[in-house]
Amino acid sequence: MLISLTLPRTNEYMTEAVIRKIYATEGELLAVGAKFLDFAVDLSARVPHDCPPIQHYRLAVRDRAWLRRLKVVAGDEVPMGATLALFSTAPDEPLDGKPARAVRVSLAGIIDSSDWWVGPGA
Amino acid sequence: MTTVPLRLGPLTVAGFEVRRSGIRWLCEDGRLCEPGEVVAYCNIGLVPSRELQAAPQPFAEETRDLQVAFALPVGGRLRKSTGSSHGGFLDRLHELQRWTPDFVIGEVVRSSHKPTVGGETGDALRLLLLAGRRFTEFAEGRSGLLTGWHDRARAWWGEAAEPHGTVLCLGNCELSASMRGESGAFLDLFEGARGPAHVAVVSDDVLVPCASTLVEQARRTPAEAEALAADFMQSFQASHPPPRPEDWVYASCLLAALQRSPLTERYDLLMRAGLRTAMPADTLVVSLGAEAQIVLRHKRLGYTMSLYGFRIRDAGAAVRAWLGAAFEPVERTIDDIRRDLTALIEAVRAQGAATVLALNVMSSSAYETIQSYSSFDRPMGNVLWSVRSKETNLMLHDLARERGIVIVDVDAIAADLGAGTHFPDGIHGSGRMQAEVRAEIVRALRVCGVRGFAPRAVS
Repeated sequence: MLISLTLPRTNEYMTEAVIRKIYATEGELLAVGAKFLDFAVDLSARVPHDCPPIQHYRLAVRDRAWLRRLKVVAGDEVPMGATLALFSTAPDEPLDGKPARAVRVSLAGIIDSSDWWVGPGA
Repeated sequence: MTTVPLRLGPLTVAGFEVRRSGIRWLCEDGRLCEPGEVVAYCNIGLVPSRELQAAPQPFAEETRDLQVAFALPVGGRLRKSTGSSHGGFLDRLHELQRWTPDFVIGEVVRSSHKPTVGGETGDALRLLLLAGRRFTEFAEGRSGLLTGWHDRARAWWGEAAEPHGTVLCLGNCELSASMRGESGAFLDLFEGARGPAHVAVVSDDVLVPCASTLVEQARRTPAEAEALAADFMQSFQASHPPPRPEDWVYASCLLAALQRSPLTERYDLLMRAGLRTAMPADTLVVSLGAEAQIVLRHKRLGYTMSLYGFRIRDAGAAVRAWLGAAFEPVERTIDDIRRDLTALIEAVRAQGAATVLALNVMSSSAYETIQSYSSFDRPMGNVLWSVRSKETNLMLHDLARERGIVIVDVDAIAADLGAGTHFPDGIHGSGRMQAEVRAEIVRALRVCGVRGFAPRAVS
């Protein structure tokens, strides 16, 4: 069975996100609870106030599934609802069918201070 | 039906002539007003006599943004005097005309006897004084009531016979917005503070008032402040790339803030019967939201400061080059924040502040869907925002038990109201949220017996 992952909404004002880190590679079997990817949501262009919140999230999968296709790489800016990856419950399932459902995931706000300050000259 | 004239009443300062601008109205003629409602305001100027011209002046850092707002002693239909307002700059120039006690700005037509506010003022207008200290004198913004770019804004009633207490608010934008309210001029807050209350809010626009920085500011000697400024000037003048206008604006405001000490400042208060001086704050309100995980420490001089990353990105390349070369980021654990808050509490208690309120942080997210924590590395307080927030709030409970501080439970208020609706971006609260936080702060100040926050007297 093919299952897909799309970029979830984390906020009322969210329209897109930046992929920050991907923990899995194509062909890998992911266990239930495996970290999949981190993304950041920057509301500065969407919410008219002085201190734009930049929030970081992690997606962990809750299905045992093979990662078959990664549609994004770290650094990509992705619109909300875009397909991020395709999974299958069998390792060799053809990818030309329609996904039967969305992969089950956990979404969590995470602490990521790596871009808190962009450094000199940035 | 009775008519109550709205007279300015006395406002005198020995050795000074009190002057004012024209009156600016906050509501329409004919409005049915509540007793205590603030309906108008003007700017105020104190002109020294010849003998006092060379002496230190009161409100030296707030001269251009000193205002008085007028609260009605009685409710009823408002009628404005035609000569009260001149429009244009004449309603902004703070030394336009002499303050005359008998001047009538308008009248209230009462259809029945309703209670007066406070009981002590009869039919005189109540004066709510407002003062803003500009980040720079060039930051002119006299478009309204307490408008402008201020590094400190404050308000107090002008009638009290007994001494004022000072509630000093040092936190992030959520605390300042809750205290200043929708008007931005403390009007909602002072609805609940009918006695000798004095409230000051320090801005977090440039330097975030976090505990470690505040304690350092209070302990900094003049020689250390000079060394800090000299180091800055040396570094900044040699900066590559050279500073641009945005660099200078940010850096100069930051330097000015670093050389001040909100904890030890005294305050001039203009009262109906003259000037008073309020001592350093006897009540402190802080927020955990201002306690960032990362602060910057100067590599050579050792002082720390907390800045917002998005401000640094806006500040300019020279500022970023200076910060990158002269400072190192220091990651703070929850224990570090607890240590810094403890030092802050000890510092303010040593100078007589009895009451400390601390706002905790919201720890829930409307969109988070965690079914199992096994997906996340330990310690989870270093990984998950919600876990860190809860652990930080728990730390605050420990601190409250140890040090007798009062927690304002923002987390519970947000959960009750609904974080998704009232914290839609996860950080900034709705008007309802801010009003609830403000009401909780006022309730706590009342319970703690903070001067000026006694229950409202109605006669």
